[in-house]
Amino acid sequence: MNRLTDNTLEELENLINDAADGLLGESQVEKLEQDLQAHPELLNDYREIMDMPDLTGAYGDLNAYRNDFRVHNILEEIRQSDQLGSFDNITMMLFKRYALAASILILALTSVFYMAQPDILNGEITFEEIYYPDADQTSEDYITYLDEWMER
Amino acid sequence: MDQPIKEEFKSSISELYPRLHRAMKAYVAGSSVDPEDVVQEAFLKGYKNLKRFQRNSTLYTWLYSIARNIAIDEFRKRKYEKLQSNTPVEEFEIASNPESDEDNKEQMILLRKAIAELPGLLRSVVVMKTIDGLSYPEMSEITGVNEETLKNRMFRARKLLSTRLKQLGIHQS
Repeated sequence: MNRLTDNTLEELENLINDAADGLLGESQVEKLEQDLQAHPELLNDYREIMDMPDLTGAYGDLNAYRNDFRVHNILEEIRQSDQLGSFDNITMMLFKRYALAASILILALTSVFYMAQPDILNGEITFEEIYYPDADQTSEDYITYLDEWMER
Repeated sequence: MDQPIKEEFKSSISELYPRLHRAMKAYVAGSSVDPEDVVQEAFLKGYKNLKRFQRNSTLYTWLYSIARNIAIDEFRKRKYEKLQSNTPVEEFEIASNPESDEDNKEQMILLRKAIAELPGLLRSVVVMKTIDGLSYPEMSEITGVNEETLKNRMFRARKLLSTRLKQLGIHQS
């Protein structure tokens, strides 16, 4: 029973909204006012709501809100983001397309460079010999010097 | 991204701007948020996310929901609720218009103040329905709240407004 009453009240509230929005015809308004007689509080709300001034004009008409400068700014920012976006897209497309080819090329060049080292092929080269070639030369010179000194 | 929709978006900016500007001005009234900044950001954000726009809604309602979310974020940043209750009437001043007489101007200022004083949820509904003229299905699409709840909020908002306007001495002429 309570639920039925709540539904009725909700329906009446919706009808009051419709009346305030000017959606009800004359006969519908009369019917609503008759129905509200059974709900004095709601009838009072209805009267106060209908007595309110029209809110639709509270913020004036749209002409007051035109702003060509702002619209121009927005379009300019969009144009810039389009340019930036297209640069990004081109970069990404080129990267995706050529990334594999570039990787293979780099690997091939590194291998060629590595294989071109003369001592690498005979397998006798060591890490120290690549990075400290002078150190070995110095030690060999020192040994030669010692041999000569011993022979004296 | 689809080129025709991008072009359609760009060509509709000048048409949609005034309506969205007015709606956001009403929505952020009483706060320090600049409605034009909100609108500009909404258009730029909308353009960047245009691929998410679905044709079952209108471009305007889609942009409205983006702008509304931006405004809500700004309110959170500025702790808007604290500012709102202390907003002086002068904040709602309107640009001088020779066609409107002083009484009308004063009434408009008080109407704006009364709307701005409504709790956020109710103010949002009043702005969408009465200021911007959106339908309940459109409002539901923007807010994600069902139509019945929106109608209920509208009724509560009208009740509060009628009481407040009565206090301010404003009645239907």
